Amino acid sequence: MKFKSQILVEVIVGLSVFILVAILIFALFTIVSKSLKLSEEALVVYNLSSNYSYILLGIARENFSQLDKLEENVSYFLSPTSTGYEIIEGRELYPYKLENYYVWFTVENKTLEGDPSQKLLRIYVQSPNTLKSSLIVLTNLKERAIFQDEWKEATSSIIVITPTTSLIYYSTKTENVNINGEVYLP
Amino acid sequence: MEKFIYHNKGFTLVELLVYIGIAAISFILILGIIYGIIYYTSFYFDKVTLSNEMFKILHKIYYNSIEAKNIQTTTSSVSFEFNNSYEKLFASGSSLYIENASGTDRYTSSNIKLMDFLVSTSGPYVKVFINVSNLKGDQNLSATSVIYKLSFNE
Repeated sequence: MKFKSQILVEVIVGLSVFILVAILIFALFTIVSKSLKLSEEALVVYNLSSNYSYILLGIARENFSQLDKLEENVSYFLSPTSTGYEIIEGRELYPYKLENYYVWFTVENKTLEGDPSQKLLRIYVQSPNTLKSSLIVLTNLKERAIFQDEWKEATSSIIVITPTTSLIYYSTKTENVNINGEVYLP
Repeated sequence: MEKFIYHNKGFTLVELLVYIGIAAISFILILGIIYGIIYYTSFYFDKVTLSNEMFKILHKIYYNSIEAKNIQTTTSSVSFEFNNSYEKLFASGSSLYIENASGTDRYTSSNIKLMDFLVSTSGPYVKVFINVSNLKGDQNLSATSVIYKLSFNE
């Protein structure tokens, strides 16, 4: 009988260990799937945030005075039109794979460093799990440029300061950008 | 030579059934876990590959648009002209290719399929709709990249 009891105990112990391992593997899969979801979210956030950066860059260059009409600390979003984008008060809903993302921007400072031709904007992207934001400085460089060459160079500049979501890092001919954080140069 | 002695230590039918049952359950669990590992490993790598490839394409478009002095588009290609060079991204078959002065190379991995690469313009903006899927076609990822089209003819 002792022989059989030993086998039974060994089987029970083995099964317990096996079940524990199975639970650990299940937990690992859960973590992996969660990380995949966050990774996909990060990609969507990067995409939306970058799109807003480039659209705002275009608006700043094409029609900078449009930005003067915006109020500070009010949420705005960009709505596509046949010729570009228009700025509308509110937040844009972006549904993606059965989940809702929201994207909008606010004007944090209309006269950055006392200069009305420099504006500090913050772009927000609300994903199902997190709220990410990034700062962008838009400058009316067209008025500042004296020579056409400088204008050409200046218009290709876009600066994102302390990017929490995106990887835009390029700057040319920009003066006095000393906001808290880093400015990445090529 | 020692004489063979029979010891009556065999299992009863109930004990045997219990042990066989435990062994069968263990076997099924082992098979389930092995299948799960294989399935999730494949799933995981497909997802990671799709995300990486999409990020690579988006980053290329965004970064090139900053550097470029001019951007030319067709419905299935976008061409960035730099000071002394150019890069053209275009879709062919199920892949994205990049053409420059050195020649043409496949830009996307052979582990994914490019389902859509649609380029449109709206005023000074260029929109690129990108849709990629894994080789089995059961997972996909899409994004629309919007870039500002610089023009220096002012």
